This record gives sequence, C-alpha cells and structure tokens, in this order.
Amino acid sequence: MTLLSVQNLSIALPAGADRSHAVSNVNFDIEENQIVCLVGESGSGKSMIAHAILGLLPPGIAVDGGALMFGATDLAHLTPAERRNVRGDKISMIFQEPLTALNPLKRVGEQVAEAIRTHQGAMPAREVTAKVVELFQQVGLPDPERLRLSYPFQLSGGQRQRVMIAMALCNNPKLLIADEPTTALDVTTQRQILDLIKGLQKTHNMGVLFITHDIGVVADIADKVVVLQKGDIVESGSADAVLMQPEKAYTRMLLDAVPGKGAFRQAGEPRPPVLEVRGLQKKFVTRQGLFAKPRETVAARDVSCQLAPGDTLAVVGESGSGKSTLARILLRLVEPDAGEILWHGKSVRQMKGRELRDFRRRAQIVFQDPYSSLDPRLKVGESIIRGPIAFGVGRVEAKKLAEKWLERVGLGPQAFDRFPHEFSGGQRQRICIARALTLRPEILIADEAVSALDVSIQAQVLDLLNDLKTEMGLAMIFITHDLRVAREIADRVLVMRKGEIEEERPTEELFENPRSDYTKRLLEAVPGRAFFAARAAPA
Amino acid sequence: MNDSIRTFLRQPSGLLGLAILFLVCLAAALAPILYPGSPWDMVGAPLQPPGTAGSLLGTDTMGRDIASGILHGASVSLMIGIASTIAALAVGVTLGAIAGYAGGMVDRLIVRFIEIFQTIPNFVLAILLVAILTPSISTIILAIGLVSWPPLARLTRVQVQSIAAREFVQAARCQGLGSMSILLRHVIPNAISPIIVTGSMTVASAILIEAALSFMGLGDPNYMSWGYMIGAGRTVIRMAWWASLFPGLAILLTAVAINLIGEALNDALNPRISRS
Amino acid sequence: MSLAAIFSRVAGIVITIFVIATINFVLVRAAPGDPAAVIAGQSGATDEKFLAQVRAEYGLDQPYVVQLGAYLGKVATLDLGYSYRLRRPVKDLIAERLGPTLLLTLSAFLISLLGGVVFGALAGVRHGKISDLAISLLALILYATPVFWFGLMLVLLFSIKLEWLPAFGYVDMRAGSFGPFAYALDVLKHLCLPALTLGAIYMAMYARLMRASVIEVAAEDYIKTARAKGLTEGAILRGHMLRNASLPVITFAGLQVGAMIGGAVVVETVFSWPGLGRLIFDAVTSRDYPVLLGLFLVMSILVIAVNLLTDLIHRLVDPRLAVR
Repeated sequence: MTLLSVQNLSIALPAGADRSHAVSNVNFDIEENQIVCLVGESGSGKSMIAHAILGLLPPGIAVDGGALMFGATDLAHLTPAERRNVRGDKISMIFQEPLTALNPLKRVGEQVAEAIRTHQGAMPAREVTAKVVELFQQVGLPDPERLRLSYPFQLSGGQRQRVMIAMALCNNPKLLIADEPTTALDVTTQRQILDLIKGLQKTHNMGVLFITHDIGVVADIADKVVVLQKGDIVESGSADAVLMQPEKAYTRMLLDAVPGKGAFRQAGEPRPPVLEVRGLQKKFVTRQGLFAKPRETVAARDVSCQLAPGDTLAVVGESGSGKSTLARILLRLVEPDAGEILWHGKSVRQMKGRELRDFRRRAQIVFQDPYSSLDPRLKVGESIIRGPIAFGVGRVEAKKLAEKWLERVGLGPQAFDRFPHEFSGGQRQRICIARALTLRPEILIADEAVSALDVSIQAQVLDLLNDLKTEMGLAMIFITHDLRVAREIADRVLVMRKGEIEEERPTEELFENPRSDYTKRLLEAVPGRAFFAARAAPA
Repeated sequence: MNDSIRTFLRQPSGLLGLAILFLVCLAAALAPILYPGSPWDMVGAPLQPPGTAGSLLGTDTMGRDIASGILHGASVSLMIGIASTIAALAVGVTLGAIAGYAGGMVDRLIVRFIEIFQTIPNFVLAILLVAILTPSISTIILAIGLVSWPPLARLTRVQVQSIAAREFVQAARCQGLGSMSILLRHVIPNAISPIIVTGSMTVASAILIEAALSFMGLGDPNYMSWGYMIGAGRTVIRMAWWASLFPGLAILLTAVAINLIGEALNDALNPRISRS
Repeated sequence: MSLAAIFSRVAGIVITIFVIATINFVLVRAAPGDPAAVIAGQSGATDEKFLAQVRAEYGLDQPYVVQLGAYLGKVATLDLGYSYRLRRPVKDLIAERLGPTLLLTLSAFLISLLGGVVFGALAGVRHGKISDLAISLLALILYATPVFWFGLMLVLLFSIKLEWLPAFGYVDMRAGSFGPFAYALDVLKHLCLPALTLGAIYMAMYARLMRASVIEVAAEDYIKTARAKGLTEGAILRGHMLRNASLPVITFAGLQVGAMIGGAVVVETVFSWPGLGRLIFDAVTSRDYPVLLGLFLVMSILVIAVNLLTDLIHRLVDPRLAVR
C-alpha cells in the first residue's frame, strides 16, 4: 500500500536565488515497508523534498504546487496544529549532523522522553523512562540506564545518531525520513548505522525515505531509487533496475564517477626517496588551567614512511587518526615532538630561514575546504602570484606563470582577475592546485582535497591531479578518509589509526589481502562494495 | 568595499545616525560663531527657564547659558571619545593580534592580563587615574583609553585566531611568505571588520565615561563638558530641570547616533547579512 | 569541579588581587609630587612633621621593591591604610558602607539579567514584528543613556512630579522609630529608583544580546529536531531555546560586573545612597587617596566574588562546563 505519494511537487526558492524552484514537478511514491533512496549531487533539491514533507522548510522557501498525500491527508496543506500531530508521531526524521541535532544542554534520555510525552499524552513518568531504556536497547546503545542520563557531548558521533534514531522511532512512525544520516560519520560507524536503519525498518515495517549523495550507500540499502538533478527527477524505479541498467546518462555518470573501481596502480621501481620520515611523535596537549592535569591526544606515535619521486602514497584513516596532522608536520606547519624528516637526506626539522623557504617551495599542499583555502579578499591571481613573488620572481613574470597554470588546470587565464566567491567548489580546488604548482614543487600533499566535492567533480579533479603528477614527475601524498579515493589514485596505501600506522603496503596487496583487522573492517565498511564488485565483474 | 558602502547607505537607521552625528559635529564647529563668548561666562540671571531672557535653553545656577554650554561641550565630547578610542584600539588590537597569532605561552600571559583588566571595575580605575594624575584632557583620554582596551583586545584575539587557523593562511606560509607579511596582508584585513564595528561603538561608551567623570567633578576645568553641566544641575533639579535635561539629551543623541552607525556598519561589513 | 581546578582558580584570584594592589602602588608613585602628600591627602599636605610621619609609616625612604613588598604584605593582612582626613582606618569606612552597595548592585544585577533575558527573548521570538521593534528601539536608547542622567530624570518624574517614591537616601530620617518590617519596606522604597536606574541600562544591553542570541539559536539544528518531534512553538521556546540562548548573556553579564559596580558609583552619587560609590565621590572631592585606593581594591574583589557567582550559574545552566 502506498504510504506517501509525492505528486507534482514544486518548491519555490526566494527571489535572487540561482534558480526559481528548488524542485519542480516531482513525482514518486513510498510504499509501506520500503526504503526509497533519493540520490543526487549538491543542489539537486533532495533535502528540500525531505524537509517539505514535515513542513520544516527554511523561512522564505515554500511548497508552491502539487501535493504530499499521506493516506488521505495532504501534508502540504495542514494547519500548524495538524502538522504537529503528524511530526514525530506518524512521520519522524533524522538529520545529517547528530551533534548539532541534539540540544547540548539536555540529557539525551530526556530529549527522547519529550518526544514520547508529546504524543502519548499523560503517560506515567516511570513508563516513559522504561520506554526510553527499551528504545536505547533497540538501537544498540550500551548501558541504556546510565547512558540516558548523559549529555550529547559525552557521546560519540555514532551513539548520538543512535539516540536520534531512538527518538525518531519512539512513537512507532509509519514513515522515517533520514536526511544524509551517515554523511558526518566515520566509515565503520556509517556501516553500523546503515545496518541499524535497515534492520529497524524491517522489524517496524516502516517506510523509509533515505536522502544521500553516495550511490554506494544507495546500492547497500535501497529498495527503490529516485535520481535527482538540479530539481528534476532524472529517473526512478526499483534499485536493481536503476543501478544495474541505468537508462539515463546522468545516472550512468553518477555510477561511473565513483572512484576506486579500475585497475590497481602499480608502484614503480624502487628509487631513492625524496622524503623520508623516521619515528615521528606528536602529542597535542590541551591545558585546562594552571594546575589541572592537561589532556593529551596522540596524533603521531612512531610514524615512519618514505616517498619516492613519481610515487603516490595515500594516507587513510578515520577522524582522529592523525592523518591531517601528519601532512602539517611534513610541511612544518606543526612542529613534531620527536622524529626526523629528511628531504633528499637533509633534516627538515633543522632548516631555518632561506633553507626552510626553499623546502617549503618544493613541498606544496592542497587543502580540503575549497571555501577557506583562498583568501576571500584577494583576486584569485593575486593569491597565486604572491608565492613566486616571495621567491623573487618579477610581477609580470609571475602573472604569466599564474595564467599559464590557470589555463592548465582548466580555468583559463581570465580567472586571474576574479574573486574566489565567483567560483564553485571544484573550480576553487583547481585554483588551489594552480597556486601550489606555480611554485614548481617536487612534493604535493593533498589533504582530503576531493572530499568536499560532488562525485562527478571529484572524478575530474582526481584525473587532473593524476595527469599533473605524471607530467611533472611529482611525488604525491594523498590524505583521505575514503578508501575508494585511495584505491583510485595511490600506488601505496598507509592506514593510520589513533596516531599509529596500522599497515603500509602497495595498493593492490592492501586491498586484495589486508593484514590488519582494522584495515579489513575499513574495507568491509566501504559502502556499495559488493554492488560495485558485481558490477565490475564481466557479465 | 563598494558593496559594503551601498549596503550601509541602504539602511535608514545608519543614515539617521550619520545625520545626527553630522549635526553634533556642526554644533561643535558653529559654537565659537554662535556663542563667541566663553560658556563659563554669566549671561543673565541664574536659573532662568528656557526661552526667557534671550537664552534658548535657559540658564544654570551661575547664570551661564545652557545652549552655549551644549554647543561648546560637543567638540570636547567628540574629541575625547575619538582620541581615547584610538588609544584603546592601539593597545587592544596590538595585544589581541599578538596573542591570537603567537599562541602558546605568550597567548596565555596576555589573556591572563586581559582578564585581570576586565575584572577591575573600569570606571573606578578611571576615577582613580584622573584623580591622582589631576584632571586634564590628556589624563582623561589616558584613563578612558586604559579602561576601554580589554574588550577590543579580546575580540581581536578571537578574530585573529579564527582567521589564522584558516587554510588560506597556512597556504600562504607554504607559499613562502613571512609571518609579518601574513599577519599584515592576510590575517588583519580579514579580521578587521568586527573590530571596526566595536571600535565605533567604543567611541560612544568613551563619551559616556567622559560624561560620568565630569559629572563626578573630574572633568578638565578649562573646558565646558556635558557631564559637568548635569552634575552642576543635579542639586537644583527641583527648581531647574532644564539645567540637567538638555545636556543629557545631547549625550544621549550623540551616543545613539554612534551606535546606529555602528550597527549599520556591522550589517554592511558582515557578509552573512549583506549577501542575503 | 576537580580539586586541581579549584586550586588553579584560587591561585588565579590571588594573582589578580596582587596585580590590582600593584596597580594601586604604582598609581600613588606615578602621581605628580610627593607620594607622602598623596597619601596624606589635602588634609595635612603642608605640615612637614606630619608628612615625615607618613613617610616613615609607609617606608617611603626605602627602595621601591621593599615598599611594594610592604604594601602587598599589608593588603594580605587586610590592612587598607588610614584615612588621615576622616581619621579612621579605611577598612572600617568600607565595612560600614559595604551593605548598601551590595544590596544595590545585586538587585540591579538581578533586575537587569531577568529583564534582559525576558525582553530579549520576546523581541527575538517576535523578530521583525512591532513588539520587537519597540523593545529594540527602547534598548538602543537606554544603552546610549548616561546612567546618572537617567537616574536624575527618574527622580524628576517619580519623586518630584508624581511624588511616588523617595528621591534620595537609604532610609527615611525617622526610620529609627520604625519596626523591622516597616524599616525593610522603607529601604525597599528607597531602593526602587537607584536599582531601576542601574538595572535598566544593563537590562538594555542584555536584551540586545539575548535578542540576537535567540535569533541565532532559532536557526540551530536542534530546534529543527524539536519541531520534527511535534513540539509546540511555546514548548520549543521554553524547553530548547531559552537556556541555550541565555548562555552568551550570562557570560557577558559576568564580564559586565566590573562596569556595573562602576555604574553604582554614579548612581549612588545621584541618589545619595550611602554605599561605597558615595564614599568614592566624597573621597574624590576631598582627594582622600587612601580611601580611594582601598575602595578600588575592595571593589575589584567584589567583582571577583560576583564573577564566581556568575560562573556558578553558568555551570548550572551548561553541563559541559560542570564536567570539564
């Protein structure tokens, strides 16, 4: 039976937005006991649809056509009181970032209890508590009696999302809306939450509307898929049909753009390393007060590795593994506590003044966030030429150089006189690459450089980096949380966990035959792994 | 920048603030022409109500003209407000920028120093300073500057810290730029707009502190001041409300105008609002 | 709060007090003229014998370091010096004036915090409506009003024109014959205007902050969660917005305590309230420096004490602080 029928839905954006409608004429149904995945890149309007169902659209954005039929009621036209009756009762919702989605000042058990009390009327306090404990058990939270008295900041990201799920389930909803519920989580946690949602959906006979940008996640859990692009439905249908035999080019592109499916890269002949790291140690100490015991976080414990010219080393790890700190230590943006960094056999840690500047010039970095890695007040060209000028290149010469590199990264020299805010995320990342390469480095460190990008853009930037690497004979260190990206670009992979190296091997060996349990778990957690393996296999 | 000016000019409250402030400046400029004599001179009988005996706003206990006092007081208020804010900015921005950019031990020391200064009841310290160093324009500016810098230092520190953590600053370091040029070319320009806003509001609070000091009898005895006039009118409020009402209104209008400008500046320089 | 944290807190307070005492010391030495004359005030500046006595007592012929050490030692033993003008120890002068000041500042503090939170929340929730505009405008004006003038205008309105409330003093002159209840009531009547004067200015400040904070909190994800739970707007405001939105207000109020005590000085002057502020005014007028210096120190300690109080409130409201 149809649970929710989205009929000709249009959502209007305020005047001055980049388009008039977030989505227009969207049609799809959610059946009982079915997981429908709404998949699309950023700006596709997928989240807007989810918010429209519960009337949670931000101010200025409103449904201006069509209907959201939930049984006999049209959710798009409810009074505030009617809407409140539906929210959290028949339909509930979980969000992307569980830390901000929970009130930081209230105990988590109380936040769930509040949802129960709102819809169950006068229920005795003891029963409410019992229900909370039962729910916490159901979503797999440890020690529910104790944990319900905790505050959100005391829980891990995965636990917070479990609390959100418990809150969503407390009134046995018919429909659960999940808006990118695993995007902010580490890959192993993502796997657990996906399994949990799928399991609960079955036991509760719920309909689930699952919003995601990751087609791997879709492959893992969807019964039905709706592909969105810029506010329009590209295609929809059963998961098998859409994923295995996509009809539309856009869907095929989404599937093909997922990294890490082709042949493995092979490491080149062993050569003397450009960069060698020995026994690196780093602890971060946060002081709490004059006499309080400081808190310590280990970012690197005895980390050693080598990088040869022309090699790409991927450093993979979950949040808190110390992978980004490693990148910053290598560039001496962060000083290590102990250990040695050798550049062509010379100690980087002992470099000063001119020598250090020379090293910095030869080792460049591209950062994760394309929005904070360019000075918003400077024209793009100005940001780029400051480097060469600092090394004594004349202004005219530097400008020529910058224009050449802007051309090479696919933006054209006219980008020189424009400001960062005029560019998209992918374009900005290209600018950052141009900025790094203008200094003719020998080592390029990419710190999650494609993580903030949509898959289609991600694929393009990865290709660009690859071409440039070959062209310039760069040695590259690629920091990423995404094993698929590592597989796509690296010759060797180094897996880090809590500041320690779990294992470091050539890519093929690591993927085909992982040694450490942790690596195995990481690999198993990659979304859509089975699907892509099946898809790649010759039919 | 042009965008910011346009956003500023689109706000009626900011324009109103500018207009009032312009009038205050005009009053200060016209004082020697409209009332060429000293504002301390007796012009008529004491405690004359407004509109009588040729005095627009009445006279005080000594027969001095209130209107003349207000016009002559304008320049003193503005001058002290602006000068002490510049002093506070010089100290606050320097300390805050050093703390935010250097981090570590230097940061902890400066933060401690700021905290101590924020604990001190600042008006009492100002009283103490002016009283001990004897009241004059320069000691008043010194005292107000010395008690007004901590919030500016705090703000600058937080701003610099947040900008310095941005990736474009790290990128600049990798590009081979020196610390000083990163601080001056990347960090400060991006951190400056909230500091400008708070700085402009500091002028208003400095004017209020100056008024309170002269109300307490700690004004420069050579210059007529609004606060002094209210203080002098306090004892005769039952007989002559005008002696304290009008100078107070002058302070109020000036401070409101500056705050209005500050708020409009905030909206104009804060990209989050001006973009939408 | 761990033992170490308490210890470091106490150490911080001691350091602060000694820095303030040092400022006192430096101020007297920085004053133009003979420090002995500064300490003696205008009372006996011409009497050479008397100045010699002061010099000996304060060890003014010793090196600065020794003098500073001696002064800090005195502060540590709560010896705040002697007012040669009033011929009494500064400590006693301050002790008898402390009560009224505490009464005034604490009432003003509560009025401003409660009023600020309530009006600010109201304006924030009605963002853009008439009531928001009215509250915001009033707050803008009050924020720019000189405290002492505002007090005078209240006197003009409520005491002189309407004759509702007493304009000056702490208690009626005939209060000696009042019973304890009538006495308290009379003090309360006298307290109204000064507390309102001092409270209103800060209320305006907190209301502005609270308004901005409520608007910001309203855009938080957990408010969306609360809405998705089916809570009414009223329940969302009470259960999720108020506490979160008042956090920055409490922090700010803690920072403003110093300024508020400074404000009490002028308010007490306006209303002839027999507290520390009034004592400052008298000491300024007669250039009685030992009293001024002692007052500065005591008022700073008062600020530290109220800061501890706001810290405690903060910890009650925000569980994240209590654990750390």
